[in-house]
Amino acid sequence: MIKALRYALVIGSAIASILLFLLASASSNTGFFAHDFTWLLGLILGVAGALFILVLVAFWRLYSRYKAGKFGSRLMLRLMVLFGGIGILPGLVVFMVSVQFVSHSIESWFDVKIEAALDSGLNLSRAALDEALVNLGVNAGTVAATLAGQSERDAQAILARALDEGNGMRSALLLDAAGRLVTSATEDHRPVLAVDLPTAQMLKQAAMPGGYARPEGGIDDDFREARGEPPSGLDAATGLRLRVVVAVPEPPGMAPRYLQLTQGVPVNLASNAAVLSTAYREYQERYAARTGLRKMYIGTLTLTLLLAIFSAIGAAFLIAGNLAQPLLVLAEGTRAVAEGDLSPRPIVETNDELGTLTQSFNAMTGQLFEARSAVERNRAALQSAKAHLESVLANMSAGVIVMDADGIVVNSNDAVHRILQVDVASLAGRPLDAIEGLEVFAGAVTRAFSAQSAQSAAGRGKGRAHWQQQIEIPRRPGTDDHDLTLLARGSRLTVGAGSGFIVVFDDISDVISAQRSVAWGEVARRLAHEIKNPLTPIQLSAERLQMKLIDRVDADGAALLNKATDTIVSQVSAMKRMVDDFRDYARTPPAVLSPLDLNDLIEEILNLYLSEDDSDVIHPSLQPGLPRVMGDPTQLRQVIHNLLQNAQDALADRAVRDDPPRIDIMTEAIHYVGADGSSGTAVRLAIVDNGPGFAPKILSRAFEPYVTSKARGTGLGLPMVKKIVDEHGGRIDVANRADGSGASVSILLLKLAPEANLAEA
Amino acid sequence: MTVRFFLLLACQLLLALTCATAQAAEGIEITRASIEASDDGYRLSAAYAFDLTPGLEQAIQHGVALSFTTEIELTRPRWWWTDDHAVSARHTVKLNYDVLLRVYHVSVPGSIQQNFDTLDDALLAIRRPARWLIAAKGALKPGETYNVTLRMFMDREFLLKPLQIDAFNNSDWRLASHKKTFTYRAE
Repeated sequence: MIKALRYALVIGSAIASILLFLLASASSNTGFFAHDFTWLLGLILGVAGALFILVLVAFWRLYSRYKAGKFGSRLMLRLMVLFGGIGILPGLVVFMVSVQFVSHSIESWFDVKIEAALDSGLNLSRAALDEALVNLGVNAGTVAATLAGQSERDAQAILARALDEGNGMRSALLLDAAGRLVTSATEDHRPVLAVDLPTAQMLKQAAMPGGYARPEGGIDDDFREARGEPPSGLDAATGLRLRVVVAVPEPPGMAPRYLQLTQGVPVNLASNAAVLSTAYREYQERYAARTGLRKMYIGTLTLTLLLAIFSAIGAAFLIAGNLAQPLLVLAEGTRAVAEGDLSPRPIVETNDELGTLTQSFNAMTGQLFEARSAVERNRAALQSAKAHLESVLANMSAGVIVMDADGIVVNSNDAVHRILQVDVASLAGRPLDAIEGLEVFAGAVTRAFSAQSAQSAAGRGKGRAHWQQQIEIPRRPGTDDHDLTLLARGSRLTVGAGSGFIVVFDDISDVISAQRSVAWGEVARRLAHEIKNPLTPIQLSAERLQMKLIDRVDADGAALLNKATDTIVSQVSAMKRMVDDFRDYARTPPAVLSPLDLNDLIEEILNLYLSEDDSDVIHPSLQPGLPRVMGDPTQLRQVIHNLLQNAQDALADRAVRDDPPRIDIMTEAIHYVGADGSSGTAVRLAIVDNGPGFAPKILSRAFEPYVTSKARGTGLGLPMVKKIVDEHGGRIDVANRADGSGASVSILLLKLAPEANLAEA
Repeated sequence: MTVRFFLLLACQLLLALTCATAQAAEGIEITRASIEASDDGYRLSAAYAFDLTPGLEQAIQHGVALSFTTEIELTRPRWWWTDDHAVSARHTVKLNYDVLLRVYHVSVPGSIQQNFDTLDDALLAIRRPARWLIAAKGALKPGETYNVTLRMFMDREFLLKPLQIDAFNNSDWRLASHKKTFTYRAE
């Protein structure tokens, strides 16, 4: 329920109570609120109407909530009906009884007997007055008869006598036809007042038979009321009098004269009659007002009942609202908890069970919140640990494949993709041997695991939990890939209750290649040594044969001899050269490093190649101010010679193309950031041609001896270059150009002359 | 829905109010009303036509006093301000019956009471009252035109309180005229 509605109900009830008190005060017949009674009534009706509307609004709200099935509305309705009933029923009973009581009691006040008694009393008074009047009339008739024909002076005496004789006589006047005073006799000889003289109307009536005879009222009512005093019997006694006016039966011929007698009504008769008439009037007034009285009482009662009912309903709303509120808070709380909001609810500030209930509810949500946040924290920790592990796996250079007990891949890292050239996503969830291109690998791994199982079953390989094997994977048909050599290690993985397999492998093709070149060196050195020894005797023997026999044979024979000998000598020298090459390759003298300017060296070499005209195919592009490097000039010269020779050979092999043959030789300084974070400088030498480029098979083994694409090559050029560069602590990289036209060889010299480093610093 | 309900309620109240006002104004007809300037001031000369309801007549016969009040108001419209209430006067005539002496009294506060033997005579004095001084000479501005509102009714304020309440919904106890308006040019 809205707060405003509550306050309105409370305030309305308070105002209604005050107004009811005023109404009750006004209803009692005092002067209190005499004029504002109507307003008061209207005000009360207005307040009752307002309360009624408020109650209606409250009911309507409750009903709509009930219809909508809102939580708590049923309880609220029940409490409301209960409290409202408790308030209304006794009120109704009291109201009924009061209405009955009021109706009957008011009717019982006015009964026929009292009215008849008052009527009789009034008639009695009237009769008494009439009788007195009749007596006075008779008296007046007698006096008038005596007065007839009498002179003014005699008349005075007669009037005085009549005044004395009459009981309570006030005045006796003799008047002429116009009503003027002729002579008079008054009680205590008072002067005759204007009020005592008869009016023309009275004289007219006096001329009629029977004359004028009326009792006359005392003091003006208004005069009395103006003084604010209640009428008393004495007032009436002094005021009430009888007046008789009769015509004097004058003898014919005389002007008509009138006699007026006034007599005060006896005090006890007058006062009693006045009291009686007042009582009669008031009784009649009240009799006429009895319906109004009943209306007033019943109206007041009804208004009271209405206000009481509305106040009771309003109070019922308030009480029911207060009782239901904690439950609503709890309901709100449970809904919020169901939606995941565990914030504390407002606590109902009571000491009773409902307050305790909300408090324990809050405690419960608090504990829930604690538990949930703990779970959340654990989950986050696990997640970060997993993420760490995954990033470690992903950044490993070795390929890792995890399989379950059935050989289905569970997990693998990026290195697997790089080494095996398979899609990581296609790996997961499939058996290893079902993946295209991995059949050989899968077979080898399966065999290795089987062998290990057999071994451990035999109880011999207790010390080793893993196997290690070198796996050769042939080049895939149709692609340019070279053969892969993998070093794989496998172990059983115990994950919880189940078991799995983990295979870690590395691409060791480069290692194998290096080992091969070392082996070749050794072979070449021995072979050269073994071959070179007999060569000199062979050459010498052939020359000796030629020299000794040339003179002994004829011309044909000499020609044959010379030809044969020359062939032997030339072949031997060729063989010698070859053997020297072998030896040189196998036993290159250690490089003697000294600071040198690479650009100067290149320009010096290029002098031999360049003719300084347009036919030159070599285009140098040397960065000026290149730092000096540590190097052996002789060996570096050989490196450059070899590379240029290779490039030129490659250009000779190239197919006919639009662009002219071209060799670029470039040098540049490269700044890099080392593994320890310090910056360093290196010098790069690159020789790029636009020939056919390296064949894929050659490319991977370019630095191995006797690997050549040329018809007349020893296959020792690039291995030599590689060896020299290694001795200089540099790096060499051969590759085909990105667009596929031509090869590029780049050499990185990392050792710079000390003063160059100082200068850099 | 609520709005409609309140609208209905308001209509009902309005209707009830109109009925009440209509009921209140019944019984007395102002047959003649004019203002005359005299030496001592302005006087109202008016005549009314009405009959007592049976209830009122019975009440009179039983000695209940009735009061008749005449209300007159003279206003001068002012376009630039609220109307000028020049004169606002009340005049009450009281009629009662002395059950003992069987005489009808008609009295005006501040003047002598008149006695009548019959009710008709007494009522005649009320229906055709003496010219009544409503304003002193200087109260009105000569030449100005005033709106006069005249009303005459049986004044319930002088009744007993229960009778007042009874009169709320008892037409026997209601006697009043409509408001009669006319213009008067002050002399």
